[in-house]
Amino acid sequence: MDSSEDKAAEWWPRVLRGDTGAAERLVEILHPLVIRIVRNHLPRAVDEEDLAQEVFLKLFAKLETFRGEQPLEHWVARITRNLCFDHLRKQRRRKELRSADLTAEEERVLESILAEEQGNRMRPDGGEFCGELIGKLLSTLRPEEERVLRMLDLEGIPVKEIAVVLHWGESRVKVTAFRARRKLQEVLRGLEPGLTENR
Amino acid sequence: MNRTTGKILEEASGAWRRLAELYQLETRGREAGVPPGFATRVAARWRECRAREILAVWERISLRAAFASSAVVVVVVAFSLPREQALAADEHLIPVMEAGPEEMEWLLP
Repeated sequence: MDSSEDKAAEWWPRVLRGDTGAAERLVEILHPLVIRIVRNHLPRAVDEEDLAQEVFLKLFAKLETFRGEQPLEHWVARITRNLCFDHLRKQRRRKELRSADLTAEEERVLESILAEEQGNRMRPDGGEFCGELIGKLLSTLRPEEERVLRMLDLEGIPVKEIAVVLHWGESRVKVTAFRARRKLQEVLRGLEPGLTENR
Repeated sequence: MNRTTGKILEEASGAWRRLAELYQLETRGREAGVPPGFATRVAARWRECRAREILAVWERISLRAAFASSAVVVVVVAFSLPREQALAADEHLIPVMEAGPEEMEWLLP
């Protein structure tokens, strides 16, 4: 158990008793964990701070159901991911993504990445526009594929842990990730001609 | 599943991998600290929510109490009505006292 978990475990009983100061302290302790997950699962046109606030309110409302059978941080991470996915699911899914759907900055990022792929030594930049671009790309996938890729490739969670979180077998996680990535490669390949036309 | 297949299945490749790496670099670079006032705002909203919940519980309790007390009143009225009707029906059996008490002084010792 790490120190932040120790601290969190120390404060949550006081939050249960309605202590506002303890709630503030718990928010400060859990914020890095929550914001990391929120950033990696942020739906388009949703402010990360608003979503983080919603996550904390849900956590406090559900705190009574926490039995302490698992580390508090695991429980917090599960609730945060579920809430983010509820938001992502609410967004209308796209059937396909065209280069016309991308902003100029997103096109630039994608162009530099594709050029690098083809062996041109072009240093990709514009990481700040990646979030929106990734959201658009992932919205072409099925929800469970999006969920796996967000955890595996964006959060960097190992396959074993994802299998536990989703109550799946490891091989199912791997196969889902493989299919999702193949779909993404196809989407990216489909975007390429549109990008070169715009050049 | 051999080792190579496992590696292919586990690891992203191509433009997607590069995009994910770029994104991870960017998000890691962002400041991870709590924005000023964020914890206070969350705690204040949580307090508001709790107050609303408590109020809702009290509303439910008081509504139930109001229903229960009105039900008691209805029952009492329903039970007392036949008694009053019976008393009204037997009224003719009660002798009418025609003389006033002052006329009945002779009855006193």
